[in-house]
Amino acid sequence: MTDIAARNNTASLSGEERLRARRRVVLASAVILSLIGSVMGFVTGFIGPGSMPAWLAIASSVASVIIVFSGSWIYFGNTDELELQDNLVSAAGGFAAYVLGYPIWTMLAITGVAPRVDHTLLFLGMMMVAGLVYLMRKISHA
Amino acid sequence: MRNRLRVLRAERGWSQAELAGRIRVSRQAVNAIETGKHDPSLSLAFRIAEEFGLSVEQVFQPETTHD
Repeated sequence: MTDIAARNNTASLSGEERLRARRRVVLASAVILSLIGSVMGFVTGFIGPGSMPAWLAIASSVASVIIVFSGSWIYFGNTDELELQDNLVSAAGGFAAYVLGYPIWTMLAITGVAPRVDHTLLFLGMMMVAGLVYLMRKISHA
Repeated sequence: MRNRLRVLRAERGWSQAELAGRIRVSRQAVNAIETGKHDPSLSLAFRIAEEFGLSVEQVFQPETTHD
């Protein structure tokens, strides 16, 4: 029995069993949070823009903040430093895309070369770049 | 930073997943450390050394040593 295992009260489990148990916690939290997010997305999408009552918008906003914070808390409490680094690098990639994308698009729009800045597109672009960077890092140390 | 993770693991008959579970990281993290793609933090390096019952210097060595 090692000190590490004893501290975590998992001394009776093999390393592979402990790894599987930790994976289950991460997977279960991801599935639960995705389900909540899907239900929220479906409800807001079903109601459609313009007809959503204010209370639902406020409730959804509060729920989103709680879900993201609690989800991150559970997720990062059960992952390791490599995963944290992957998340930080991909977030930095997304941020860089936004920091470059917004002024460039604005400049082009002012001169009439491009249409007006679409913030939804910018947001989607930022998320896509972050996702792509994350995927590339995951592949690199698979 | 060089390390003897693969050798030490093989000596004990541990898979990457086994070591990962013991030191509370993912299997990918063990692989990244073994292949030199990721240098572990000081706390993780100590945890790894502790798991093997060795000192950090016995597991990890700098890429170049200066006399």
